Amino acid sequence: MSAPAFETRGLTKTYVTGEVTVHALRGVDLIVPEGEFVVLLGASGSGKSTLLNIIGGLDTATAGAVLFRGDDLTQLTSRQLTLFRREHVGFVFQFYNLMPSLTARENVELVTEIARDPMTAEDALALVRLEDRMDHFPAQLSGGQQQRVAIARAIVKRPEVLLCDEPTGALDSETGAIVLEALRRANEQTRTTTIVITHNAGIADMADRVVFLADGRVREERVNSTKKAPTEISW
Amino acid sequence: MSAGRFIHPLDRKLLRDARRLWGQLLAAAMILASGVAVLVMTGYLFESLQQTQRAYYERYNFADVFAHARRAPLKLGDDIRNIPGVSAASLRIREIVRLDIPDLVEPASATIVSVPRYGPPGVNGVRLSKGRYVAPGRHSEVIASKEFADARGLAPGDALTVVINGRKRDLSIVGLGQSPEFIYAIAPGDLLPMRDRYAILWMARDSLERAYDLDGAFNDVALTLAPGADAQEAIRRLDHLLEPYGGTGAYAREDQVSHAFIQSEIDQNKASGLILPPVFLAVAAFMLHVAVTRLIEMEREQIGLLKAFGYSNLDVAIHYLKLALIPGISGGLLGAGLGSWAGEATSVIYTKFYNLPFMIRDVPASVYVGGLLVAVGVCASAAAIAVGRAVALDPAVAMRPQAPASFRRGLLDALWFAKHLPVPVRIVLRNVSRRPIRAALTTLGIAAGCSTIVAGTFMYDAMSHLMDVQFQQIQRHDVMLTFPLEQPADIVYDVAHLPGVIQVEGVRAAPIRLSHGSRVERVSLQGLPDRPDLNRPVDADVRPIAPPPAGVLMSRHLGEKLGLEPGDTALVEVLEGRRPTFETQVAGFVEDYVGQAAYMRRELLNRALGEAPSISVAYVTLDAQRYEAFFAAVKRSPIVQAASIRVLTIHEVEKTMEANSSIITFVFSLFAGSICFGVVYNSARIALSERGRELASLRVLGFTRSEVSFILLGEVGLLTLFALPLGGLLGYWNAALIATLFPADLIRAPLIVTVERYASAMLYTVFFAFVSGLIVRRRIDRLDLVAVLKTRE
Repeated sequence: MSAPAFETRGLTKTYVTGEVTVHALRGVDLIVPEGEFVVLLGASGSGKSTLLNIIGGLDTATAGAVLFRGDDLTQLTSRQLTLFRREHVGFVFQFYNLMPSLTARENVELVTEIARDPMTAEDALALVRLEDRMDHFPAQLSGGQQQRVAIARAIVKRPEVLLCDEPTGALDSETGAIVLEALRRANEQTRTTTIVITHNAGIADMADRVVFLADGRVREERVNSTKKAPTEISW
Repeated sequence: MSAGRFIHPLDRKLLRDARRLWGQLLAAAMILASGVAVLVMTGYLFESLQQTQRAYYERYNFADVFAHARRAPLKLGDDIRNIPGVSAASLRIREIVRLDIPDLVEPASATIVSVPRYGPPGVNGVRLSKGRYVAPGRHSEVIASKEFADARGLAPGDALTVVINGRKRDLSIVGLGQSPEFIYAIAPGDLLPMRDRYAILWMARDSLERAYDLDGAFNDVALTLAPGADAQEAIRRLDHLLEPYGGTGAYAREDQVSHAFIQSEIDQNKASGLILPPVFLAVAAFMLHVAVTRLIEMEREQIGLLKAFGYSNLDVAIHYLKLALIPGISGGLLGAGLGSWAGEATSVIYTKFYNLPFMIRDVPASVYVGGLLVAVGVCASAAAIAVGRAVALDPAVAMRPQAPASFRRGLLDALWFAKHLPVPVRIVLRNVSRRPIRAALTTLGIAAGCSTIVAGTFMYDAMSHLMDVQFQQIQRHDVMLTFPLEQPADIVYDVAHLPGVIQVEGVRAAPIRLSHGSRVERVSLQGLPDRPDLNRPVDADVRPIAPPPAGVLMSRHLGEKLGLEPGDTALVEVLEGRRPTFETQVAGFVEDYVGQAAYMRRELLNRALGEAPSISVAYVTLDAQRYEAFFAAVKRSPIVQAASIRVLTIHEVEKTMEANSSIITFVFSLFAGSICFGVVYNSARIALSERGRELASLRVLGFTRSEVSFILLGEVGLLTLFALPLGGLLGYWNAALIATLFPADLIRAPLIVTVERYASAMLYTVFFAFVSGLIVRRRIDRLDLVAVLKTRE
């Protein structure tokens, strides 16, 4: 097993909303090895989104540590977290979150302009098989195509990690498979550590590693010996 | 039971919406309040000045027609009173006299007017504010104008030395008076009232008869006309009657200097109520419209839900209209209050600046109610269009989310450099071009703010140009000496021998009637030396022009009013001496800003009048070291009627300008600030509301706050840049409009706006835009990064 990309130790997150205290994470210990395709599975309220947000530097932990290649993210300032996201993390959102005023190519270029060693926008779009849609605006693309642009935007800067929050949540199964295929190709060709959170158990079959979360704790962790192709997955 | 139960749930939603949108609603309310305040203030001043003027004129029988003559017999009075339409006539003696005030180095002057021996004058009455009326038979008693007495600390019982017809007379002040004839009292040749140097004196007729050898005669007439009488016909007949007696041409109330100034002040209030407020109201309407439109966009689903529950279109419409009425009513009330306060404060200043004995502040409620209704109406109509769209939504359609914003390649992308622009810049440009109307209106709003500063303060550039041209280029003398009658031209040698005199120039001035076709103007014809130096007309490029060997020069304003062009022939009718009438060619126009006159060579005028070389005015330059000696000599001279001192006029104008400049600049900057601030804040808040999710996504992707701020504020920043030149242009147009509000026959504001004026207006605009941008930027720090991962717009 290679050195871990992420390691969490006793990660705890407590929210206080109004008069209610929510224990989103109750001490998560997890190791994500470099280059793996990891699926975090869990029902809503299981804590998977909170975990992803903390790993991605969008949220802070109440207790515990998150090590990214040995550096503790919980010690970083807001400015340093911005820099961490900018240099190391690619995000894919459930609802794509593309800039409607930019074409597919420009949405990707938006990131290449601030990245240190990006691939070209054209290469990134080719990787998600969108060579022929590069000059379309989001409103001219289908949901699946928009999500593939989002994946191209995430991988174009050659991030160390790719974090995907329900990337197929808004898509039908056929389109979802195309998007997952794009993620798989990106993971294989760029060896980017990829973490996908989903409540869709079927997606687990294409992962190297599956982590089951429930009630803010890791319930089970499984390593797949054989991975299925996205087209073979049943929804 | 809680009070909340009595509030309809929709109204509770309304209050919460209002709390959430408080910044935008407050900005709209403030701009509305500014507009309503100006509207109410100018309405207040217009009403109170007009009512005051009307009441003052009525109570003291202010004349409708005025005329002067050299010496007319009192028996002419019957003929004058028999002119159709004449209801009363005052046959007076009126002269300019010199005042000798011991603690003033320079001589002061006064207009002395006769009053009947018994009882107050029937026309142009005198209001006694202190003391008593002159008593019959007491030849040294005089009523002095209140403002002069106040300025000099004089009271009834004090003495005053006056040089009447060359003889020193010690007079006793018995009363202080005011008259509608002298609301704005300026000495001949002056630009502003000089309260401590120019008096109005009322003296019993018999005292003046003796002094001026006018027994049984008069030299001044004031007539009141019956309602509906034909003033022009009365003037024509009066002129005919006075012609044999040296009449210098009668004129109507409109041409009376004091009336013209006060009337123009009233008209200015009416006009500025029409210039400024629409700008504020339009800007506020635009802001509210955008804010309500955005709110309705965001609440599509709620609107659908309400309708699905069975709320009627009217319920939905009223709900959103109520929101718009919050700034409407609060801005309207605040504006009405502010306007009333500012109106009253200004009216107090007016009472002092103009010699008004009272100020009627019986402002009709319609001024306030009108202001409030305008505010409410503006808000309601601004919201109505947006609300109309909400009402039109089908419930099922409303509950579906709106389609994603659709962008297309535009004109911008056709430009060769477009693809070399950084992507954030492209985002800014596409957002601007996607909603061109909104962008244009935002630009216009910011430009309106900028233009308000230019137009509100351009008067200082105009006045300093006026002062430079009028008092440095045209008038280059130190003192203008006026003689009561024409004097032999040789008198300049006597003047030259007065202590300290460096240079003397004699001018023969005569009243004329200048006509072209059916257009006639009564002006002064100045007979100048062949090469005038101390009082020299200048052309449009401020180059001196000498009077030509033949023909006349005239003020451009005068030429334009008469429809004359250089080269045309005009008819001159001299209203003095043997009253020659001759045709002459217009040799050219001169550029001047104060008064209006025609100019020709003095020898030509003397010849036309059939007189020996003579002058009536002498312009003098002085050795500053001998200033006091010069005036001491002038005070001893029997023939000098009045002395007008250039430097005192300049000081007086500068004093008045400085007194008002900081407050006016402050008020207009405040106005402009509220517009710029409101428009930019509103625009940035809307942009943040529309694109908050996009911007938060960028923050998640690792964009810094500054980078995201650039994308958010770049748009409004760009529009601010577009707005600057437009604001300058609008400001210039507004300044041109304001310049037309001056009483042009008396004073014309040159349309001069300096580069510094534009630059400072633009800097203010950028500053206000920047500050409001910064306030919105703080909200970027509070963007919820986690929520964007999960929510769909």
